[in-house]
Amino acid sequence: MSNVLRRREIILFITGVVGGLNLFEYFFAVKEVAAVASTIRTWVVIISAFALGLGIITAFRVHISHVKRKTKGQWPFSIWLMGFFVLLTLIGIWNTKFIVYDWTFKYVYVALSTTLYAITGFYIFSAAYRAFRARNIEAAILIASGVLILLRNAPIGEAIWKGFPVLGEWVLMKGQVGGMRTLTFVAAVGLVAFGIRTLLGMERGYYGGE
Amino acid sequence: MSKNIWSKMAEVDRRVLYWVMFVALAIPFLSPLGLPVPVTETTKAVYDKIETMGPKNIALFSIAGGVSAWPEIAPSMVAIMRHLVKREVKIVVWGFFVDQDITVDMILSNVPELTTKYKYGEDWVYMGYIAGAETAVAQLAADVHAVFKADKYGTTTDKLPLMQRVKTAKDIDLVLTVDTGSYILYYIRHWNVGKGVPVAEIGIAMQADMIVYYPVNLIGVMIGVRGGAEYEKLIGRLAEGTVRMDAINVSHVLFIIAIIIANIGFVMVRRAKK
Amino acid sequence: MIITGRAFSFIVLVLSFVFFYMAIQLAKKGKAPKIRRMTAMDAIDEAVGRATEEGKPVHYSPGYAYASLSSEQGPQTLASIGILSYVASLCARFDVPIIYNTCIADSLPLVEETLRAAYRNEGKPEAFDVKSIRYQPDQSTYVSAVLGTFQREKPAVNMMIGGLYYECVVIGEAANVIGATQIGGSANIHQMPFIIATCDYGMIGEEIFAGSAYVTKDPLVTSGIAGGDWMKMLLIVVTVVGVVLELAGVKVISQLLGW
Repeated sequence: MSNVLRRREIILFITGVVGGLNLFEYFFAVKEVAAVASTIRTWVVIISAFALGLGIITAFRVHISHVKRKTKGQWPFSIWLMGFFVLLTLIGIWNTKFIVYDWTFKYVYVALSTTLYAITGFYIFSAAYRAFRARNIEAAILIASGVLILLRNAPIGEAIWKGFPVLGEWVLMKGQVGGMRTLTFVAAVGLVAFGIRTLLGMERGYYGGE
Repeated sequence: MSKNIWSKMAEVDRRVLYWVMFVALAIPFLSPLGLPVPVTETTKAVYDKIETMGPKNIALFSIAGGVSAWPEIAPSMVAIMRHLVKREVKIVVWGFFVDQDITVDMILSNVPELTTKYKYGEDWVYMGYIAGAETAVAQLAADVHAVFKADKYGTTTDKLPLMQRVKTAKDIDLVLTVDTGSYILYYIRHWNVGKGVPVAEIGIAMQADMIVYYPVNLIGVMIGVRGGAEYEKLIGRLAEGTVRMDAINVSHVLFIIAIIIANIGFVMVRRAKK
Repeated sequence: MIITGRAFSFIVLVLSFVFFYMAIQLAKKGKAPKIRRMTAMDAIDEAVGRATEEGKPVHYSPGYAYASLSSEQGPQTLASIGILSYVASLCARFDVPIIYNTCIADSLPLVEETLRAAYRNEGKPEAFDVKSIRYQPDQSTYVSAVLGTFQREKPAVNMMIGGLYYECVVIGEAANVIGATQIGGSANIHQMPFIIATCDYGMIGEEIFAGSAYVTKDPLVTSGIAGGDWMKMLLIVVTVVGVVLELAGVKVISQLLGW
């Protein structure tokens, strides 16, 4: 039965119908079609929520394997992860205001997340130091624009020279807008082309097949 | 100077760079710079819009950013909420991140008027988390009650007086999306284009490219910590955003100095090779 | 019948289909439109070859992409999975382990099926290890998992293609620390500078969508790229004409856009 359901033709048929329906609903004001498309979108929201459970199963599969094989340097952390996951899930189902649950999120999860996000600043610094070299005239112009934007963003720019924020503002609000809109526009057309290839069954990424 | 010095300037160990950055960012904590923050047009536009709103208006506060982005977006969120409460605008809150409850708790602790002055259910509601990204945003534009059957605390949507007034996108007078990525585009596509709902963005520094949608699709953009500091100045209540501007000042200047040093080293090494 | 304000978009969509059809018909007649080489896609073979020589794995990740396929990031993830299929085939052929880190839960069945199919097509279905797919539920955990993977397993190649966010620069720099060859790509404009700064080969804008067609090396599929380019050219002409007319005070194009 699962082999029948995985047949390419069935997948393409479902994709075509759902995609076509949503496209039709976007352009044409037909109440019945809008109602069906709306229901389908609600289903997508529900499926997305279920996918979280699927992800947890995948994660557990990997970590159980590490524990079974006693992978060096990994298996204690796998036990820790799975145990902590089960514990917090049970506590959360019971009472999300319980101090352990609340404390773990506020003072462990938030702190760790913020730390990882903060690492970005350091990595951008080292990446910029390594990569932002004026190898040619275009690179030099790019670096100059970047510096103007930095001095526009930081109030210290205005303290150094009143002209920096003016120039930086020009680069941000006028200079780069044309280029950015072009990239947005081009990416959108590429996305449409990808969508058409998907509807015509020429893309295999969305069904994972050959 | 010898060629060796230039090579060293061009290829500083990244660990040295990290330490320099760390020490430099610590300086403002010991000796705050306190430089004034000029207000930019895009932030002023958000302020001006909310100044035109009052108790008859409803604002949507959409949380599409995680707690990891708090350093950049929390000042803006708190400042905007304070302004909305000051103007007595009705507020609907919902979001798309699993950790948004912590964000809402943070806002409640910084804006206590939401619990003391406002009445839950009539003046503001928190509908909770919804999965589904763009599909969810599109569906919410068409029919909010179909997506949110109940609020975060289990009260059915039809029992919330404020939600009796909010059925579709057109019932919202202003969308404020707190964003670390693409949710602003979803709101532009499904709420602004076609339905004409005004949308404003509260984003991280990487959202600066959203300027391209201003002023046609976005009524205003608040970018990063700077946006928060500007808004605090506008509402006359300086807070975390203003404090963090010192770090912005130091890091930006350090960045520029580093790029200059790297390029001097690079140019001199290239000349020496010739 | 057509909703106000969407008629022009509908015309663009119909014309896109028409151009697509024309390009495919040309390909069927053996006159497939020529498209330029994509350096990043061509570098995949070289990169996997490097991993084979060094005996180290290939690391592939689709980025954060808002941890969902149901977003505008979804197509980027799907395009990434299309490219993954090709990468996985090469890895299966040369017995190079592949590590796939992701935080996009609803893509997991697709990824598993893609990898399984790739190994099956190379005649090595038993070599596929489902545990090479590693899921983390959140962006921060995903980033830290990738950093840990780099430190422990030291892949020779890092490919990050898809809806990248702040992890682009973090993962990119971490891969540079271990000396991995990097191929990156995203349609997210805000990540463009970081892809260029950290990766050896990069794809920006719509190149990742074209890339998933390019790697198939099927003229019928790659001709679709040309169809999209013809649509772009037409829109450029409309834009230029519109700007000129607008400056002359004739608002016909701007009215057409809002029709």
